[in-house]
This record gives sequence, C-alpha cells and structure tokens, in this order.
Amino acid sequence: MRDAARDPAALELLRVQRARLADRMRPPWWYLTGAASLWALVFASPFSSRYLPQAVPTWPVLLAAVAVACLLQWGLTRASGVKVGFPDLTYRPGRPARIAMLAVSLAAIVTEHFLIDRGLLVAAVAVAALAVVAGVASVQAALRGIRQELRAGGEAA
Amino acid sequence: MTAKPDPLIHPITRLSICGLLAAGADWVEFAALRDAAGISDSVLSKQSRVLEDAGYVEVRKGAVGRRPRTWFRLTAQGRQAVQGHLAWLAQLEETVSASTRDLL
Repeated sequence: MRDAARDPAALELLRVQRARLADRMRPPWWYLTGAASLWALVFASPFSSRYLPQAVPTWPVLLAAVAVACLLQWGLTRASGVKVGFPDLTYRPGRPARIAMLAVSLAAIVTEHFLIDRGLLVAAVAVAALAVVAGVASVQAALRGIRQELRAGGEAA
Repeated sequence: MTAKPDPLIHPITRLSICGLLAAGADWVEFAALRDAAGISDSVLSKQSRVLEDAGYVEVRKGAVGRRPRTWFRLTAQGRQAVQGHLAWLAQLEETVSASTRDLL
C-alpha cells in the first residue's frame, strides 16, 4: 500500500478525489423540473385561493410543497450517493441562496396578492413566473454552495 | 486542533476514504466513495472494515429494492484524527515546498 508521506501529491490527489465527489452533486434534469414544479405550486397559491371554485387555503399548498421538497432531496441523495445536511437555514453551504429565496418568496407572494386585488392579473402572473425562475436559480446556487464545500473539504480543509 | 500523524490513516487508500468522508457530507454511499477515490470494491470493503474496527468510520447497511446499499460516515473520533492528520500533511507539504524553494 502506498504511503502518503512518501507521496508529495497525497493532498493534491485528495483534492482531485473531492472534486469528483462534488461533481456527483450536479442536479439531474428531474431535480430541476421538480424544483420548478414546487415553486410553481407555491407561487400559484395566491391565484388558487382566489380563483378556484372552492378556494384552496394556503397551508395544504405549503404542506404539499414541503412533501415535494423532501421527495426531491431523497431522490438526489439516492442518485448522487452523497447525503448532506437538511437544507434549512442552519445548514451552512448554500445558505445565502436560501435566505435570499425566502425573502424573494415572501416579497413575490405579497406582490401577487397586491396585484390580484387591483385586477392586474397579467402583472401578477409575470411576478409568479419570475419568482419560479428565481426559485430554480436559488436551488442551483444552493447546490453550487454544497459542491464548493465538498471541493474545499469542509471543516477538514 | 493538533496537527499530528495518525498511523491508521497514513496509507493513501485510507487517507482517501477518510478525506472524502470528512469533506462535508453526512453520509457517502459505497459506489460514490469507490468512484471518487478511484479504488476497487474489494479494496474499499477491506479498508473500510479496518477503519470501522478502529472506530473511525460508521457503516450503515440497507437496501433499495433488491439492491444492497452501504453508507459510510466518519465518527467524531475519526473526524478528529483526519483533521489532525490532514493538518500534519499540510505542514509537511509546506516544509517540502519551502525546502525546494531554498534549493532553487
């Protein structure tokens, strides 16, 4: 077996191996599609609560969104073979993207309600569409943060 | 953290396994670890058992359908040992670089 101290490239080899591990965290197409559906569900809630014959309250929509998020996370763990911490606000990699998306989500939902109240439906739909794009971008940014953490070696670096 | 060599994770295969497990993931699956480290199934099985027996690595076995799945993670003891060993290696690398610079 090779000895690390006799191999001056031991740490360099470890960097290459970590990069390989990080590359497994690239999101598959179904993950991004699922994330887009999830955000579409969230940002459609102001419309569904007003325009569906039986107004759908917000909480079942949020519950469904959380269930989809958990399912996506489970699928990504299975596909990548890498289980990272639960991506809430306490988990460091990708946290700025998650905080930014929380702020964008709240602002988008408030704006949608505001525009729907004033009958500006097209503008409300445009805001929802932009928010979905921002949501998918935030998911990609969060995964990029996780990949950077894996490449850098986390606390062991 | 004290920079000190650990004879158990000194061989490069075990260093690879431990270094990958310390990279920031909670659990890493057998195939992912094998592919990232660039080693064979048998080498990973053998070396992970050594690390598990030493209390450095925790192993969880499960199955998805009929496929067996094995997951690994570092224990607190293993994480401490890896961090110390990597710090020692970084010091060594720095010393070697400094010596090379002096020679040139």
